[in-house]
Amino acid sequence: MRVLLAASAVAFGLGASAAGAQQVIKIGVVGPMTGAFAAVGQSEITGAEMRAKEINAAGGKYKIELVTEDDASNCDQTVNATVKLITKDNVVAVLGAMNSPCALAMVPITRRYKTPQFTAGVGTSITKQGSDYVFRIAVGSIGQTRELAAFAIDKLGQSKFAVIYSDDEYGASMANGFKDALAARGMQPLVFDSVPRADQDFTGQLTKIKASGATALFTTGAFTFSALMAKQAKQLGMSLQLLGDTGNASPKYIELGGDAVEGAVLVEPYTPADPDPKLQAFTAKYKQQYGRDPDGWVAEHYDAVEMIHQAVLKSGKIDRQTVRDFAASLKAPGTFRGILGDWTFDATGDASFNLYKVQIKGGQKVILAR
Amino acid sequence: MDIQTLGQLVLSGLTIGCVYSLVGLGFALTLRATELINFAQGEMVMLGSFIGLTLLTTTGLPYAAVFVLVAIAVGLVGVLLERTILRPILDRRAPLLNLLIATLGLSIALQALAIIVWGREPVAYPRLFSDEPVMVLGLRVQALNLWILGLGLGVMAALHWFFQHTMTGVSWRAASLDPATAALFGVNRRRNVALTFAISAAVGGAAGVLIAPLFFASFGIGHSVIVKAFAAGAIGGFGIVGTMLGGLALGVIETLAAGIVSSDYKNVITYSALLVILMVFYRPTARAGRSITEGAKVVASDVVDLMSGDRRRAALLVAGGAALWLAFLLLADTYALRITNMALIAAIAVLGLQLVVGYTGQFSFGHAAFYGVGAYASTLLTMKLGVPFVLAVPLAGATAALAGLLVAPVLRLSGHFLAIATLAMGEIVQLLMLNWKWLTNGAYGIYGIPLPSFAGWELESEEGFFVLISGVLALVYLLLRRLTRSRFGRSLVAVRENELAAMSSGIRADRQKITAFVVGSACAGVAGALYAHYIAYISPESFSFLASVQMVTMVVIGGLGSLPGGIVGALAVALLPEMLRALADYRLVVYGGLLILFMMFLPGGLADIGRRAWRLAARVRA
Amino acid sequence: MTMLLELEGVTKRFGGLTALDGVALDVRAGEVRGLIGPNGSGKSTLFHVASGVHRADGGRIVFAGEPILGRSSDAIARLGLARTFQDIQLFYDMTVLENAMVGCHRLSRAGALAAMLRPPWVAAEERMIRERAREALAFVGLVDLAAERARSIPYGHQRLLEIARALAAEPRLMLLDEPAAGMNPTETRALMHHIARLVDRGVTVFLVEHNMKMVMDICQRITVLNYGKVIASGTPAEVQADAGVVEAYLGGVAAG
Repeated sequence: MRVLLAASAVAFGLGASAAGAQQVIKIGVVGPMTGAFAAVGQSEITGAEMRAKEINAAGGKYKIELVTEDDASNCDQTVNATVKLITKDNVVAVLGAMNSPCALAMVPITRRYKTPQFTAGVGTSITKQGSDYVFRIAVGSIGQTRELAAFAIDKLGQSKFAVIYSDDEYGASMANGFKDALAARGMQPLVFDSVPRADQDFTGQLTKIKASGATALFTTGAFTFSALMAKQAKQLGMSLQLLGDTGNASPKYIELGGDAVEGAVLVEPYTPADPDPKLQAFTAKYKQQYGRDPDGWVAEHYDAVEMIHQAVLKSGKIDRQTVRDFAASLKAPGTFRGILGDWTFDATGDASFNLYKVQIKGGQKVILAR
Repeated sequence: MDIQTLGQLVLSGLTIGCVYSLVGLGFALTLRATELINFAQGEMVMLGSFIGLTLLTTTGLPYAAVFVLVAIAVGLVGVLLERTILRPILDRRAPLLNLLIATLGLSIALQALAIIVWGREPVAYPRLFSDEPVMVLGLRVQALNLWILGLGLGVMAALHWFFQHTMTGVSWRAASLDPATAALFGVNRRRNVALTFAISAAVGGAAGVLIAPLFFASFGIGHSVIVKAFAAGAIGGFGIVGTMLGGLALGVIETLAAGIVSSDYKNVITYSALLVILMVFYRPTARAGRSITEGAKVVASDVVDLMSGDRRRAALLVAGGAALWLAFLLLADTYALRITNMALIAAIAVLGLQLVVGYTGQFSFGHAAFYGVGAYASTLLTMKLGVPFVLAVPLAGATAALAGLLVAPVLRLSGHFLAIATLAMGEIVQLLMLNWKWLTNGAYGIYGIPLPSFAGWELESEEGFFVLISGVLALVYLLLRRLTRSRFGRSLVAVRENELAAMSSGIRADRQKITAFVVGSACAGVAGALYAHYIAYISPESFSFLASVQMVTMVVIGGLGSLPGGIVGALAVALLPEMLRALADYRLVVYGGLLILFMMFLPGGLADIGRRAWRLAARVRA
Repeated sequence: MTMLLELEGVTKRFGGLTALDGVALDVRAGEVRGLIGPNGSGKSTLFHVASGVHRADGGRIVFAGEPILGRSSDAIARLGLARTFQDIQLFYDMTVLENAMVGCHRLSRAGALAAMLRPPWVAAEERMIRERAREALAFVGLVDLAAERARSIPYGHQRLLEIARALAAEPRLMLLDEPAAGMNPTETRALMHHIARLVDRGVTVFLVEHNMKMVMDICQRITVLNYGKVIASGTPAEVQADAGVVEAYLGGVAAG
């Protein structure tokens, strides 16, 4: 990772001196490179970095320069880093943060400095602060859980749900979204419980689930937590239909969960299982560079960099307002198509695209529906 | 609940409890031999889990052999760290707090190193045993769980035997009870300390190999168990057998609580129980013993005051400071102002903590809780009740002071027990922020906090905030300066230095401690209020144990018992990571390393440099 | 003659060990009273019990007309009982002057709020504290060391500093626990001189001491403890003539 960063910095530096005529688009990236969510930050950076390298290698009119800042999932640091990126590095847009509360904390800053913010944070309130400068490049918690719940009820025939979420903003957003989605269908989760983020032994919660008679389990939080939950359920001899949101879409979830996550159904914006040759090429290229399958976060940030690139290409101006206006103009499909398909943002800045419903079979993802 | 489920829960609780016991034993042994809380104990667990993983995947040795090898390897690491870092600090008889910060630096640096070596993503252990459960007494048991229980209990039995029946073990116990007498009988304290670190590290590493197959190996694995392990030690009175039983009990209670009551309040229950146990069983008996800040320098009257002796030089200093302030205001860019503002807000809270820790000698690991109370109080007052900003900030300070008064009974505890109690108190406050959703909006936090406004004029610019925050800081500094250079301030230091003598001089030690704690909490509350209106979004995560630890670090780096030191310490600790940004992954390695070096070579903190410079200047003039 | 300190049937047990067994004694206002006895006879325990450091298990203790058994040591100190310790208890990281200033605690009243607001009376009080502390230091001859850290002054001076700190409280009764321990003959003579001057200032002195010459020279009355019991009480001459005392000291410290 650090080798990559260093290498890319060197590459960018050399590129700049070689092609003096090129104009530089500076994009800021804020995310957790250390701390509890470092693994998620990895997807964010590599996704953005991959597209930036491609654009730079193509040698077009513009060159992308990424300025990456670590926030260690600490929102104070997120805000500090954002101010640095905007006022010191003069970036044209900021990607981040990955952690919803920190993305939320960034909003007043990006609004004050009129800088577009593209975040994969799913917390509902991020786009509800009335800022014109924040765009959610992921499907929010409400959209994700609505699709997941509907699929579980209609296609998997489940009706007895247990919900366990990690006690933070992400988990609470998802769990409550899921609960609301069930309520809309006249259902109630049989178990609805949170676990402290640092906890690793869930025998107690699983016992409760067993006693409740639930047949499906939606866990939400870090993928490590969901994988552990699955493993411990298996150890207790419980066979549950596991359900997960994009938080579990990382290939690490399968790697860590092993046999225990077999049969789990997930929603994800991007899946390496899609046979589309364009997507397969993307997957192969990412895998070759970074040694693992890309996940939704990778694809989202990959597309976001291209979106900013397109905004500049179309207007000929490297300007924050232009980038913001371009993103805001994506109201109908057809204007900008990325690896995730056609991009659109609604009035609040929420992206929407269809989610894949995938199942894990034999350690691989298989598409059930889209 | 049927008996079989209950059995299942108990078994599972015992398994995790085994790990708490082992890690807790590491804490307990170190604490008894050196009076030190070793923060790096969690990183021994982390090292154990990664070294174990590497051995398993590269050598293919059986699990039990790997277990033994890891214990030896991590034990050696423990010895190495003791030799190179902790012993030099111990030999200098620096305040215990300094040692604590050094282990904190070690913990940070080791974690960052682990990220560089093993990556930031968790790694699953290879499958060690068949997943097919074994049926024992009608319970489904994994072979792995049996191994963990067996090996864990085996280590504990071996340790028990060692301390009861070997000459080395017995003399270790003697030395931990009465070092002076033991020394007369030829017990070598240094060798004992080295032995302690070796054993502590080895059991920590062993615990790492035990839990990693259950929970994956990751750089943060130690962090998830240290607080519980600590609690295990506290429950067991930091005795050897006590800690073993404490860990097992904690594991069982915790698992049962999650299985029976809602897990929302599970940790509130755990920490409250811990507080109750501490308060009931650990009443201090003697008012003697080594103070955690012993050896710290302190300014309690203007006899040795930097500002005294020469009014002209003092005036020069103030004028210089003012010029620097103005120059910074005019010349600094937005980013510099931003990070400075955040650091100055921290400084306000740290001044309060300086009063509690530096002057009164009371350990607090829960200062961030009051910071949070202030932040929430001011936010709710302005947003829900429409209280104007200028009133909301002092009211937030008052609310935090009230919270401080409410928890003040914990001050009856002393030393490490107080440290654990304040830690538990801080966790409880944070959990309440999470769970009182009607008031605090829970984990979502509160956004859209209004900017400070003065009679309709809204403060928005970084410059404006700089003026506001430094103004409040100056006011707090001035008040605390007066406070510490008074009869009251002297009585605080007297309590810190020697409670027995202080009381014999007529000082109501308990009342003075409480007053200092309340004033300190008020400072944190005011700082929290400013923070909330500056950052405009708050959530419980900002007020965690780690935030409290950072404040303690600021106090110690700045220099115990020095108010200017508190400010400089806050600036240094808050700004250093920002300045080290260019180092990317090595940032935290360097930061942790700097903390250690600081404690090794500048135990008096940054204030010491100031004092030395001042004395030098005075000598040159004379 | 008024009794300043009265003990009646005072008992103190540590586990199975009875350190004080029904001790009765009284200290008259204005006298210098000695307390002697072999090692482990309970002298220091008696001081601890009288000053509230330890709580007696039974009996009655009256100081200046107030029953004080069960009161905390700070409350007793505020009534005007000051003391020193056998193992010196100073505020080592504070200066010599600051140590003495802490002694004035009972005579002043500025609290946290007053310290922050600093109205004129607080400044006046602070001046008073400083003057008294200086005066107390001058009394024992330590005024030149005022700015030194307590840790850094010689042992004999540390003992004097403890006395100065006690004196700064303007106590009615001063308990001195082995004040001459570790002092050379010159220092001891100076100490005896200081104690005599204390009495001139109206302070009653109650002291434990092993230096028999000193005790016999300066005490008007002496009480002898053995195994936690009072075995003799009276003038130096009476005590020296007491058969029980001689027996208690056989093989112990020779009366000098």
